[in-house]
Amino acid sequence: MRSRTRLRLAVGAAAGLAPASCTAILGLGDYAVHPVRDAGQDVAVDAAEIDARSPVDASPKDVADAPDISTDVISCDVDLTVQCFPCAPRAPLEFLNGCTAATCVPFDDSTRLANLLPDGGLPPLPPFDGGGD
Amino acid sequence: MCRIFPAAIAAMFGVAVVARPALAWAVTCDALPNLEHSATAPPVVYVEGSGAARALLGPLQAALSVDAKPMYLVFVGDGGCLGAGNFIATQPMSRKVKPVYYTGQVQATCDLPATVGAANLAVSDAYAATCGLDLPTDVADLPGPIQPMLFVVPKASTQRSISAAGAYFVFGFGAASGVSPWDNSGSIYRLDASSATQALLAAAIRVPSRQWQGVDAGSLPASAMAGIAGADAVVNALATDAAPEHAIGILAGGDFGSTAADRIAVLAYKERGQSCGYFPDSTATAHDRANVRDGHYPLWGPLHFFARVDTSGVPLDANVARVLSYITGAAAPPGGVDPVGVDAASGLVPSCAMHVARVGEMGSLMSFAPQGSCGCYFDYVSTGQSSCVKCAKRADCPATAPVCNLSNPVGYCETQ
Repeated sequence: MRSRTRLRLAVGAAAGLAPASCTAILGLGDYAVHPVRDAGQDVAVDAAEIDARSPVDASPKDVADAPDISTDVISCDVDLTVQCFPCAPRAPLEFLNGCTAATCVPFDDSTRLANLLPDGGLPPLPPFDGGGD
Repeated sequence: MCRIFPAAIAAMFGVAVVARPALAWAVTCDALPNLEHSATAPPVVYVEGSGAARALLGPLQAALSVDAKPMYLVFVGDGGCLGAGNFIATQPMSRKVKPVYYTGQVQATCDLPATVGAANLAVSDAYAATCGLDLPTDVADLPGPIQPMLFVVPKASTQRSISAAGAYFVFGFGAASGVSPWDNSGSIYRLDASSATQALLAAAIRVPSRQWQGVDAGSLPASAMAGIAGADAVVNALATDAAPEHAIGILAGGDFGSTAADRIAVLAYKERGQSCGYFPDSTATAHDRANVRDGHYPLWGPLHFFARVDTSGVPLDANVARVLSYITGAAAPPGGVDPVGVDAASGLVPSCAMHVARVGEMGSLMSFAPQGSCGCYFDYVSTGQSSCVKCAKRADCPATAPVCNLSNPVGYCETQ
């Protein structure tokens, strides 16, 4: 019962909050969670695995408005350049790109940074001249 | 953002600080008058270092000034690396800024005596190594609350975010940054090399602190005329820059008080490998530090308190041990001061409200589930509300948050 509840929290919070999280104010419509429905799986069977990879921030506040979609299963194998991470994060990039209801504001390096190297890398710093004072 | 500074903090949490200008008469810090409860001169404990600790220490200074066992906690906010360096090397405290103390809950300043020794305790925004310091075996680094570091712009700026690579160009190349509109070196405001705030951000954006371009805001004539330095100088420079769209600076989260919030704005920050930039809080105007707590905003580190200790790690000075016990939560502070509430009002996050941790400066993020978690209560004091279940005993709590944490003024069901 507890596993099922936690699964509902995990899936519901991720599915309910993630789409709003990264599209909040700047129309990043392509940066969203796409829950993978696996109709053939019994939710209870995968509960342990989902527990281990469920959103850690499924606080009561987050969960309150989340829909009950207990038969959905979230895939944690996502392309973080286009999707937020819908599961309990473990790796640094998963924390940085975790699905969230927080406002995100883009900064497009490719258009904002005129001095990137052709390969997109950073040039070495100039010789230090004592600063700009 | 609206941060509340010592007077309001103290009023909220039981200590009535009177927010008045410094007392007019000159007094040396080692000859402060007897306090209300003291027939003899109370002990004087000097804390030197990060100015960002001002808001954190203020309520404690005020409470100790009227405690039954009074103490003068004198704060010299001259810079984290400078303070830590002086302390570790047992060098005299600097005279860069006026020391601040409280008497009868009133904030005042004093003058360091003609012959001054090393501080009793140091505080830094960064690890000793980040400041280029070796930590001797008799000095302990005791972590305090978590502090975010900020890129900030004038209120009049339309800019909302910056990336790690963008900051590399702006602060590493100055006028040649190629990052419009931040390509005027005279409007890129930094701190000086003694700043641990700058040292931490230097590690984050990979521009060594001594190689930062731009202007040391504290060296500006306007700062000298106003008698301000450090974070105050950055805020003033940004707020008065004639070309606000071109202006950018840095601050420690503990320095972003209500006065600063009226004049400058925090930028969202996009880390390498991150698809979008995030504010320290869940929105530009929230106060919840949600993105610091869950790992979306990576520019943070603990405040570091440096103290001389014995071979068991116990502070050698009993007064220092007493102060540290309040800061680290080992003992309840005097005067009803609420540590979580003070952290929240100071722009800081107690470790018990964090969901991520790291080892070392800007180390990799990892999951963190503290015993005695206080995330719900932190939400309550930082935002005025919490969606968690209030409790008076464990039986009040649901299975998803089974622990009733009663160590704070309001009990909430926490995860553990």
